[in-house]
Amino acid sequence: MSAGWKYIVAVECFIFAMVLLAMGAVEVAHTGEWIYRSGSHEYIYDMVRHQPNYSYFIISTVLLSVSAVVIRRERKKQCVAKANERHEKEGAEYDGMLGKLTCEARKKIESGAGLSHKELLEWAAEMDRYEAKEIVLGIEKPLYRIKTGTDPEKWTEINGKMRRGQRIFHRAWTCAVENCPEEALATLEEALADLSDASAELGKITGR
Amino acid sequence: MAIMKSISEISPKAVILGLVSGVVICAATVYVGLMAGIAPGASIPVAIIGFGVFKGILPIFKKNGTILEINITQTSGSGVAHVAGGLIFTVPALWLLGYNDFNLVYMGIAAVIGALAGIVFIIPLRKQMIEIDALPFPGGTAVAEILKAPGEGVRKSKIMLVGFAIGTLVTLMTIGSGLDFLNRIIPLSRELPLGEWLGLPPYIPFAFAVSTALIGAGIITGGKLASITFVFCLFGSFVLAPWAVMKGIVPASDAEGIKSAFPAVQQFVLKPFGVGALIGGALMGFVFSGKAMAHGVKSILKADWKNTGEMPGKALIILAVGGLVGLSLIGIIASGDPIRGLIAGVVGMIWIFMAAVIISECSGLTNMSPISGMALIATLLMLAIFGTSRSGVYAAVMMGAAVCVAAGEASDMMHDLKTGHLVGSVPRKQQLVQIYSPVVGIPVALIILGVLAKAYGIGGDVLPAPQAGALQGIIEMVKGGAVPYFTILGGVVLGTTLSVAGISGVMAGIGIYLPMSYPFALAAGGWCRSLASKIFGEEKTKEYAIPFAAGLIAGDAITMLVNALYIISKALPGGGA
Repeated sequence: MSAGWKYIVAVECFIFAMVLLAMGAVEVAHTGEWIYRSGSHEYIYDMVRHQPNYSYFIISTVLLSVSAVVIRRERKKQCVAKANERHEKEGAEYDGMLGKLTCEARKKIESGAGLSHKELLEWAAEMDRYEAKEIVLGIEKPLYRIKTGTDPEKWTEINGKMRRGQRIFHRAWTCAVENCPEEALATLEEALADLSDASAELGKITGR
Repeated sequence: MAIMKSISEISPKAVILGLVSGVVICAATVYVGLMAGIAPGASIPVAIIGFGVFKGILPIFKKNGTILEINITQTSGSGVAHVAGGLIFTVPALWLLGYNDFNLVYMGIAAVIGALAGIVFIIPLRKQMIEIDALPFPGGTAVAEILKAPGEGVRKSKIMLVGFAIGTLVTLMTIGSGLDFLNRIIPLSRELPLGEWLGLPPYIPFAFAVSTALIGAGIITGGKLASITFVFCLFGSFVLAPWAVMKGIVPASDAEGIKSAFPAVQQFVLKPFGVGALIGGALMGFVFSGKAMAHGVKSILKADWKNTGEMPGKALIILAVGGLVGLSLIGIIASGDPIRGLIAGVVGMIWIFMAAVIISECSGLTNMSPISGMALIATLLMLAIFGTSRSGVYAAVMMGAAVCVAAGEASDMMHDLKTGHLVGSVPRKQQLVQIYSPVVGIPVALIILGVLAKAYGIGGDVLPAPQAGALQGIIEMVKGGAVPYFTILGGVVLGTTLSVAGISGVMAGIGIYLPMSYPFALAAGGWCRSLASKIFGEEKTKEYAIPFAAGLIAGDAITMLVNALYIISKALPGGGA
């Protein structure tokens, strides 16, 4: 998507104003320091009397503020358009392997047979795959793409659920690696419940 | 059904190991920091020590330690060691200014209050920084990669080891003192003076830091964020610095002037302008994320702490109020003026909050902390309140120490919480450990500082205390009246408007603030990651790049720590120095 003319002009103005501001800051500081070194006790009065060039400062501040507001508005428009554009391209496809492995793990835990260390590591590796495909591509990325255009409170609520789910999901991974299958199973179920809540809420907004 | 085997998280062995390793690193940091201005990082070394003990030594005795216990160990150890950085930057400035009879106990109390305030203020912002903004926290991510290595398969561990080997080798090649055997064979400088090679004037500090820690941090941060820092670094070096010289703020006419042009440009122009941009960026961050931030803070304060894993809100409020009362009392005792002391307490707490947020955000984005900039503002504020009398300077340095320790602890807390998020720790447990760690670390650091000051003196050949020397310079600058207020204000305007435009004012501020070599190395790491993403795809790059970057950072951190210990061993009686 190409940037609009307003955006380009605003960015150019912003860069110009930035240079102007730098010059202004140095100019005023220079005059102030010179007056101080001259030994005057009426510092502020002297600053006015000697009239350091404040015009850099004033013009650049006004120009920066105006161009910043225009850039922000234009970027917001671009973000929403980009999010919709990318949403179509990227899909999170996952083969459901974690569900299968979790079912097997549950059966073995409930029967008292337990899981071997190798099986636990395979389970943890599948959790990693699930996170990359389902959590990051399926929830996190789309959620951040709609951040600018969504009600902040609603967005924070969904994000909170997703992040809590993600943290507990990581705990499930750690439990699996550390040979605690029962806690891994319990925390994984808790995490998936939070993540599916977040995904459902996100779906209501994006219409997916 | 069998009884559920629960994973062990907070245990006496984890806490004790963390405290012991933290105390050792804290002591090493005090000495090496006073001697060479270096502060070796603590989180990665403590995590590796924890890893070695819990996964290597304990299993021999049929015992074990979990990843979550190692996380508690590194939280505790880094909490203890991190206080040293804040104290060696501020307290020795008093000796350098000729205050030989000040009370180290009051200083310790102020630092403890500052540390607790920094931690308490940053805890409610966990949601904002780690969950909402999802800042990369390169250091915290690297620690998590180290902790997760054995469970992530042999391939990832090998990648991390390759990174570690490269990190160690490059750092050894650049070390100029101590373990400099490789540097003597391949004399690689810690900084490549590109500007000098290109024939640029000395006030344009075009250089590249040969630091695998920075390159690794850049890989984790990514090309986009690191590039913002680099662009503003270019702005500072190629626009602000030459303009300042042209206007005659720093002399460039004679040979001596040219030689000293860059430090003066940095002190009078780049640092104040950068600090201003940091403040402006942080303030606008509060404005734009205000609603989301308030929602996050509210949810933490109201949360059912038993179920959500958060610290109880009431405890945080009590600690914050206690901190305010304590800091005011310290201000009153130091200055002997109740009204000014009270004002200083309130202003100090507000600035501790701001500094904690700014430092956490900076280190969350780039792994670098502009602590000296925060001390500059703290000193300016306190000298404005207390005046430049003897007691005023004493009180200002004391508050500066509180702010520096607070900012360091807050940033460390956030890195640790990021690690915790990645390995599934309960935040409350880490926060509890972090709260008591400075209470152990501060007395240790101050005792060693006092002993060293008595034995060798501060500011001499043995312990030149370069960081405290910078603070001494700031105080003398304020006393002399040459405060670059307008340069700071210019930075505030830039940081504010950048944030309005949707570009991080904090990233811009740190770019202008730091010497160019650091953001350049950070950006180089970020560009490597972006290039790899373009060639191999984002998912695959992330899988390999993060453990590799963690290895690079760990290699640098461990080598620097070992070198610090080596230098100390040589300096001890009979050590050969």
